[in-house]
Amino acid sequence: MAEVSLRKLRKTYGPVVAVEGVDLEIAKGELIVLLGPSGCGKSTTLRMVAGLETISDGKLHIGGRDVTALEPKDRDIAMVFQNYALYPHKTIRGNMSFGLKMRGTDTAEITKRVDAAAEMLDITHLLDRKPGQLSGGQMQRVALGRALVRDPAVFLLDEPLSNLDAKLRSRMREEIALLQRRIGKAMLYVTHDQTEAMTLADRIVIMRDGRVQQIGSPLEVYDRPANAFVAGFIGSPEMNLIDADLADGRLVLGEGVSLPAPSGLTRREGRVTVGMRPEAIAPAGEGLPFTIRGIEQLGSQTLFIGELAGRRLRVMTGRRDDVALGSGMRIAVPEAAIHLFDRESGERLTTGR
Amino acid sequence: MTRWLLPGFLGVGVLATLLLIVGPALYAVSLSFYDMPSLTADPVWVGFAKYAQVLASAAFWNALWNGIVYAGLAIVLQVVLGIGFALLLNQNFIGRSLLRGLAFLPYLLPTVVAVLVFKWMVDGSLGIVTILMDDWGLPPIYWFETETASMVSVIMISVWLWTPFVTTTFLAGLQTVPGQLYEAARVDGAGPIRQFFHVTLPSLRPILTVIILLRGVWMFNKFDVVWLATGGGPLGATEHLPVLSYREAFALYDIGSGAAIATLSFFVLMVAVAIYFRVFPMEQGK
Repeated sequence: MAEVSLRKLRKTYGPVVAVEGVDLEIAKGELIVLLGPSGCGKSTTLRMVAGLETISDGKLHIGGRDVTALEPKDRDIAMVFQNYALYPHKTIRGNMSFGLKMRGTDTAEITKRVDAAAEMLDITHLLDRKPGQLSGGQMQRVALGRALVRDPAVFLLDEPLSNLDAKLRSRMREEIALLQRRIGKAMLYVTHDQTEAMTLADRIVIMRDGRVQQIGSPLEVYDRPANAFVAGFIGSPEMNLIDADLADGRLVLGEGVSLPAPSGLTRREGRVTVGMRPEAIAPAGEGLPFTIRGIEQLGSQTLFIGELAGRRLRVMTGRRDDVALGSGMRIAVPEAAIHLFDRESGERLTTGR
Repeated sequence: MTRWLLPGFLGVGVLATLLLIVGPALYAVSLSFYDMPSLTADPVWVGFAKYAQVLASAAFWNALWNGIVYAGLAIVLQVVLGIGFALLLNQNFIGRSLLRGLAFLPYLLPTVVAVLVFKWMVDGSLGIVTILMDDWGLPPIYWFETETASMVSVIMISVWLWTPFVTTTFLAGLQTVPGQLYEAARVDGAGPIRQFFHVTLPSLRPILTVIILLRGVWMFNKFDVVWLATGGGPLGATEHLPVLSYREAFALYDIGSGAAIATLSFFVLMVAVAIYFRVFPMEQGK
């Protein structure tokens, strides 16, 4: 039985549709990441689950109860806000206790729970301070702690790491993952950062223009993106997406440049978009002609930016060849690395695998 | 050139302050040590005699008490009503900007206009309030004739005139409170009233501290409302220190006593402000 279930959740502002028919089941202990560019409706969806936005249409169940019309406090949720939203005039202990106090929990129990959460997050020494005296990372922990003491059915996190610097972000990411496994609660996590989504999620929900594009495990969405949008959004560096014509079992990329079409296609010909991940393309003795226009050294990898049949293409390799700009090389694209999408609808064309 | 620019600007300011504020103030204080039966008479040094005379008079203590009652009640009502209106004007409704503008209007009105209009409205024979109350069969209120009623009247006029200041300042402050704090409070289970006491009020505490201080000082020194509405009457029921000081100096031509009252008033206010700063420190220790 799902801990949280969103059924055809919809949000409209007048004639504008912000979220259209989101269906999602979250199991106990599962970490779901809502991923998408800004304005895709992911935050609105989270806020509908929180009860901070009214639900225009559809049903929301948490812990088996219909909470569609309930106030946030009655939904058995806790939320971590992007800017932490700590009460600036209260001490850290005051911040963490407030929710329990409002519920009339008795003082001894509050102290016990706050102390336990503080210990878990290693913020015991901060309990008597005010938020203004804390660093960003510490405030983030307090915000997590405030949610933790409530012991809700589901944790809602709205871009919780976006205000931290890169180094701290990756550390907090690990800690959130550990914490979530430890407490074993359902978690709904909003981010626009695909790395965060890939590393944290049990399942990723990718959204665009208020609609769900694909729901799947990190590797599922990476290996089998449902459409060209998901393909371009997941993965770093981005997948190469190149227009091509499908005819006679070949993908024609340009004058005299073509690839054999992969098997298992749902159609034989037409205008398509070819997707190739930079890391799946390899320099080879023979293959397609590739002209190098730029080189980015990443240390462990080298990213070549260049042209294939006049189209921009990026190739990532472990090699560290000293190659001159403007020079050519040959590249090979394994059949398994080719993703094919309809150019108009963007839908995936390959079946199987 | 630039070497003299900064001291130059500073010098003009210092000079103007000395000439227009410090000088007259010191002169006024110095007058309190002289007996001066008219504006043209030669002053005679009497030391602290005027202070002794003033402190021994019942009129001074009556005026001090009246001033505390007037200023105290006027501030409390202005702040409570001002915050209430600010919270209402902060809600979303049609015509909000219009109403926000209108709410500020009384503050722009000259005191004399407000007082005279109020007096006409409650005039014993022609006032609209009097006539309406008579039509509805209500007993007449003697707005400026009984002691309590006249105090209530001057307080009412003051509250009407200066509540907009509190409303506008508080409303501006409300815009600076991050919306996420209210959302966090909602998730934490705080209703509108608890949100006010746990989020709004603590966030606006610094603003409120300044508002109360400013309004307090202004109300304690406010001369025109009382003078225009009641002249301190009836029987000294609304006479506070500014009015008493003015009456002594310019109606009874005892310039020394008038100056002594003004000086004492200044010290009373200074002590009050010092205590206020103790109780409500401007900068909260982090």
